[in-house]
Amino acid sequence: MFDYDKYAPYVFWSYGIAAVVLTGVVVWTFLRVRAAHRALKDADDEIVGKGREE
Amino acid sequence: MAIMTVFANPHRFMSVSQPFAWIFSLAGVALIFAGVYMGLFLAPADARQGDAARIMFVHVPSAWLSMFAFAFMAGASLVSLVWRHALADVAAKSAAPFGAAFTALCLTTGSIWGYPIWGTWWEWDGRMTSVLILFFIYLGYIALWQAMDTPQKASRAAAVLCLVGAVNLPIIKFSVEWWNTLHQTATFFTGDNNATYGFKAPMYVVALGYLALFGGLTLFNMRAEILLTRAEMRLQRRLALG
Repeated sequence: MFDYDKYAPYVFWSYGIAAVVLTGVVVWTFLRVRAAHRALKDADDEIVGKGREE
Repeated sequence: MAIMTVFANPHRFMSVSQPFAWIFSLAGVALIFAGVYMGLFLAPADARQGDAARIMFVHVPSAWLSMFAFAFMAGASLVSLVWRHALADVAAKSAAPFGAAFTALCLTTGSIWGYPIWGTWWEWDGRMTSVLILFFIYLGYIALWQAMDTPQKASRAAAVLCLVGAVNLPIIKFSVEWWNTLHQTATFFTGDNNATYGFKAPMYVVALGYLALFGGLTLFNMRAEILLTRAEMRLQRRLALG
């Protein structure tokens, strides 16, 4: 298993970078979706809060 | 056109897109894991390149995806400019970060493969240079959306940049035929049987995985974009009403 001779470091670096990039885009996307939900909720809360002040 | 009209409504898009986003994303992750397993453990070492050829299973599909994502963005930009489709801009803008990520992955893994096989990390040949230009176009496209005063101006400028940048796609594709490059000519989809099934299978499985993940994440990103626009509009409406 993983006996890739002299090419082992190149193979592992390539797959490692691919794992980091793909994990990065997945995490970034879910953080962005969460931030968007929070921004919408904050906007709604502000509207409700201002409505009560009035 | 009928499908385009049905999904032109952001409300309808928001109500139907979430299951598809999850299905595509999860299928993408599963296919990538399967393809990587096949590439690392089941595929044979190449007769000439040895185990370095295993890098191709993450490199080549990322190259395909980098071009596919830009073609998708160019199509969406055309629809945006011609038909003013409400979601076309959102689709192009949402796909751009993933296209840029896959292009960066293609360049990086290609460079890592090049060193042991070619004896150099980088060569200014037609294929590599044109893919690097594609990466810069992605960055320019993303930056343009941030640089304009209004979303309407940004949308139009970004769509024009995307359509102009699409000229680079055939240059990437045919660069290995037009110029005498270090990069090899096409191995897949040529009609010649240049690769065995054991080598093709992991390549296609990873490519399908990348494609599905790209689709799922783009849908999620479109949803985030629409939610952020709604939040902005509500705040602006509130400010306008005092």
